[in-house]
Parts: sequence; C-alpha cells; structure tokens
Amino acid sequence: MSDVEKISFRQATEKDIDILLSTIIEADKSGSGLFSFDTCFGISEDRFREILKEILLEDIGGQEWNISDFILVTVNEIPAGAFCSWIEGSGNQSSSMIRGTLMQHFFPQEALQQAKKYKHLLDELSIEKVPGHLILESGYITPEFRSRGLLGKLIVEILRIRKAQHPDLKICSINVLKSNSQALRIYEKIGFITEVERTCENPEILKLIASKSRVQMRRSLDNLNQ
Amino acid sequence: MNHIEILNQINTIFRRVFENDSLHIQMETSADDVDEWDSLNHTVMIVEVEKHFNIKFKLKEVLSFQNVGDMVNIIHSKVTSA
Repeated sequence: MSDVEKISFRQATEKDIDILLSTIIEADKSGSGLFSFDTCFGISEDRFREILKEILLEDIGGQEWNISDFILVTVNEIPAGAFCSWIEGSGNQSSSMIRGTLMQHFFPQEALQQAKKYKHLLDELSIEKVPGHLILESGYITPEFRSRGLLGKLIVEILRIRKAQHPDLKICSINVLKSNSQALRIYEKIGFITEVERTCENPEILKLIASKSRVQMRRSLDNLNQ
Repeated sequence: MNHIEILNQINTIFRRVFENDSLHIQMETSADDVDEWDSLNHTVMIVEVEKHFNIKFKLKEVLSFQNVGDMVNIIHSKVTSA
C-alpha cells in the first residue's frame, strides 16, 4: 500500500459483482456469525451467493439487490466497500414487495416454506420503509480497508450524490440491528438519529439474527454540510 | 373465464394466504390496502395463484403489478391464450 491513498467513489457495474455479493452477505451478518438466509431460509452462504448473483444481474432497481444503486468507495482504484441506496416507492412497488417477488422467482420453494415458520418472529422486528425517503441498506467495508473512516465518507458522498440528483429529497433512513454498535456510532457521528425501535422479546429470535432489537435511524437532507 | 370470475377466484386465494376470511378485494386493491400483504405473503400468494390457474408469471409481469387488476388482466390474457 502506498503512503498516499487516493479515495474515490463511483457507481457499481457488473465487474464489481464479487464485492457486491460480499457486501450484501456481510451486511446481513452485521458483524455476527449468523447469516439470516441460512437460519431463516435454510440456504447456505455458498448457494445464496449463486442465487444472489443471478438476481443482481437482473439489475432491478428500487431495492437493495441490484447493481446500479450501489456506490463503491475505492482506495487507489481498489474497491474497498459499497453501500446501496434508493428512493423508497419510486417505482410501481415497495422495496419489500420487489424483493419478495425476486425471492419467489429465484429461491427454492422449500426455502420460502421454511421462512414462513419464522415469520411471526421476524415481523416483530420489521420496520416499514417510508415512501419518498432515501433508503440506505447493505453497507460494508472490506477488512483490509477498515479503521480509515471510509464507511462514513461513503455515506456522506451518497447523500450528496442523491440530493444532487433529486433536490426534493428530504429524509434519509437506514434500518440497523441494535447489536451493530460500531455501525450505530458511525451513523450517529454523521447526523443520523434513532426514530423507531422494534424489539422481539422471544429469545428464539437470537437463533435467526444477531439482535433482538432493530432501529430505524433518519437524517435530514437539508443540512448536508453540517 | 372473464375478469370477474378470475377476481372472485383470486379473492378465495387471498383469504387463504392472508388468513383473513373477511377480505374482499377489488380490481383497485393494492398491497397498501391489505395489512397482511407483506413480502413473504406476496411470494406465497404468487405461487398459489400460479398453481390455481396453471400459469407461470414472468418476473417482469409480477414486478409490473400495481394492483389486483393488473394481475387479473395478465391472468386473463394467459388463460384465454392457452
């Protein structure tokens, strides 16, 4: 690594698919060993990676499983991390409905049936995304490029890009597991405030995902220089 | 099979999938109108509709649905051209 690092940002392309796959998988784990598509759907990480690759190549916007809505941060041209963003409900359907359709189309039927068993638990942690909000989801920095503030820089750059593209945007929101304290600290530092919190008191939830609580943090887009 | 017959049959499927016997859907009904219509129930509902009418939706068709009427129209075109 050279002493002078050039940090840049760019829209993801199909060539970045490997880091996007890692980003989505590692973001799902939220720093834990629990991979929800394994625990809830019974899909191994390797199999999920294959399925997700097919989905990403469809490049269907308005939800987090697509290529074009990811912005990459690069260090000396090397991809160091990525984050997805979109405007909720800007198409025909909500992001959760689009993702549901993609799951129905690409996931094995037995996986969907298995997930139904856990639906009552997962519903307790569900926080609806608000139509018209800029949504951030699936952010990740590769281990070798951590401890340089890249996640915060990437988010600030995404907010700036999206606000320039859509000046009427007012609010950015992000859902995050409460156990992911490192991410929470970064989001707070760049102005996000917890607005909604959901908790599942059933201890079984901790067999599926890393936390019994999820929060939705929001930040105004009217004061990007603060 | 006409559009009303398809709508009535879909209503029966919706009541079963969404576990709501009082559900009464219209052509204009969308996911926003049905509390139980979330992403996972959506996947189950699509599978059940496909099985019932013995059809297969294309991905782009499902993603184009804005309301039940859009689904009814596509089902009608598929069952009448079969």
